Amino acid sequence: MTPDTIGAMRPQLWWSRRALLLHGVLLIWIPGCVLACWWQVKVALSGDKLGWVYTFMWPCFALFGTVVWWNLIHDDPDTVGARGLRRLQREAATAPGPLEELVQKPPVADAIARAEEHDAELASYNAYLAALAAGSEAKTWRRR
Amino acid sequence: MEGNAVGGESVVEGSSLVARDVAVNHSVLVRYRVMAYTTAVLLIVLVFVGLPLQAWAHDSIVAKVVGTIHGYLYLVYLVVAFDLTRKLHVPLGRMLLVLLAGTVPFCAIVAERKLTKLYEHSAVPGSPSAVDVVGDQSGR
Repeated sequence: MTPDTIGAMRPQLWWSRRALLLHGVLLIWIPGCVLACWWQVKVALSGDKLGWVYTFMWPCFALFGTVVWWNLIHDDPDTVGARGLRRLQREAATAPGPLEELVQKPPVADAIARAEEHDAELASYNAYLAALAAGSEAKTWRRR
Repeated sequence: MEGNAVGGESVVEGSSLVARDVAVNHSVLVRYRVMAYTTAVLLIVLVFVGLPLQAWAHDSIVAKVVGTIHGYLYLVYLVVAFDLTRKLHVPLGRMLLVLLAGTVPFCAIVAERKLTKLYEHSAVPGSPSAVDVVGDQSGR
């Protein structure tokens, strides 16, 4: 999908009320960071070496603010935030899509069952693996 | 680190991916928790050890060192907190509170508890949402 088609779908991307509010906040935030940076330069030049630490920190804050602004501008309100969450939960509750059906009944399972019918050794080995999988903890420190 | 996250950005319109989309990779939570505790402890040391020493003992070395480390680690905290709150669908106002929590003593610990609770809820399908746990700021 090209930026043009996204723009056609969401003509309000840059000029919606929310976007204008975000522009306004950024227009205050960036000069604020520049002023704070300049103030710390003056502190540092007046003899307090600690000023250099904050001289280089404020541009980072400005950069972070810009990244946040960019992300929030490109948010689709239907998929991000509380409204997006409600929509996701609604859709998840109503429709088990093709992905879930695929997970529940993988086509590979049929092929394995057919192979096991002709091969007793394979069947017993698969049963052994299944028992191992059922009887042991997942080998990961993650909970999922 | 971004590649293994099931984030809100990957939503395909009308796709069944949305069912899993509420889930957030555990590593996103872990790195936020590490940064929350790190910034919280450093800030407590700064405010309750460094600043008193600077004010009354006229020894500013603790305040300078801890203040510098906290300042730059707070930047890291901002990044990981922004990442986690977006993936957990936290409303914008609450997100700002989480980001600011790194600058107020003890607040990062509170924010960490809230987000961990929210994560554990969101990991279970059909459980209370971000709106139920942290409140709906939008008023809709």
